[in-house]
Amino acid sequence: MIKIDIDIPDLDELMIRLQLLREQLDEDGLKQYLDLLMGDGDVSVSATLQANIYDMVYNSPVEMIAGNNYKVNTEPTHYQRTGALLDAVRAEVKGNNLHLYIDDNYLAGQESPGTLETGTATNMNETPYSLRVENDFVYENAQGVDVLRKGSKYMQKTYEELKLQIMQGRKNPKTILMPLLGMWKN
Amino acid sequence: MEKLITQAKNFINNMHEELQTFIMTKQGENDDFPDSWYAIDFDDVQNTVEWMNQNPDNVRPIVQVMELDSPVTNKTRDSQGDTVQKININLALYIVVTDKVQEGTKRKILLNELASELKYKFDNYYMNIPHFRRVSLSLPNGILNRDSDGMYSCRLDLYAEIYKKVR
Repeated sequence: MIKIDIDIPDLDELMIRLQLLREQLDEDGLKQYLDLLMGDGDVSVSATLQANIYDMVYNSPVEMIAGNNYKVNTEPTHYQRTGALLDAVRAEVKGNNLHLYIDDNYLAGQESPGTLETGTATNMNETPYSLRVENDFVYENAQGVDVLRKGSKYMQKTYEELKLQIMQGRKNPKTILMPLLGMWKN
Repeated sequence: MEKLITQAKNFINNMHEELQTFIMTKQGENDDFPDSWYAIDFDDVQNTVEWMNQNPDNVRPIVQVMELDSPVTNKTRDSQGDTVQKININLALYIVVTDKVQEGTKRKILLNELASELKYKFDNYYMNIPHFRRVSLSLPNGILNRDSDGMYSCRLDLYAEIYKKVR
């Protein structure tokens, strides 16, 4: 057996540099992947939320229980007038995270009395508007009767849809490697 | 048809014009999507329905096109050396029918047929839309029912890319 000693004084430094490069590539790759999810036709996070708001809040009947009475408000324009929820959709990539949310500060400036129904609700400010529409919400109407508005669940549906789309591979992370792999084609 | 690069400041208006022309015009022998009206918002749909109620001979399906978040990508150079930006266009297409459209046909069946025909039109003739590249249209995954006024609709997600010249 022949043993060869090679003196590489900078080996440790090289290993550190390679490790740093790998971490940098991981971070850049993740950021690029998150940018793709923002909207390139396969998965479009904010467009999915907007479409669900349009379908489930503006374009669907609203279930309500007033006292002991159940009713379905089928008036299609019930929530159409403001359109504020649709305009308050925000999506942005910050660091290694993708944030999809409703801008409640924007909504606070848009909301006007009587958005839900003319009433004497005193608990409007306890919960942001976005959550009052998403979840079941109880308020007191003009007759002093408690009214339950069934939640529209637009956020929940969006989350389930996006999770399913990604799990099904509609946006494969390997996509971001395609330009690199293309160098070896032909 | 060679795809164009838009130079319009207001490309959203141009996009609606191109879509309206495409949807309302027969694109080829196998294009079976029927005559329809084009709408851009709730009020437009409502006004069209009211007008159709007064003009029964003009009852047609309505295609409402809603703009969703459409991110603009970083600047890049095209093959001509011009600086361009790609816009990822996300749109929701709602096919809206009243109970007067093809009376007697179940709404669910009618909407499924219309959605299928519209998808065929986009899949096979999208080259006729001057600025739209990489066009894809989904099929709907459910029917929306607005009981109060007998209106039914379904949603198809449309994706396209437009290249915009940077001035």
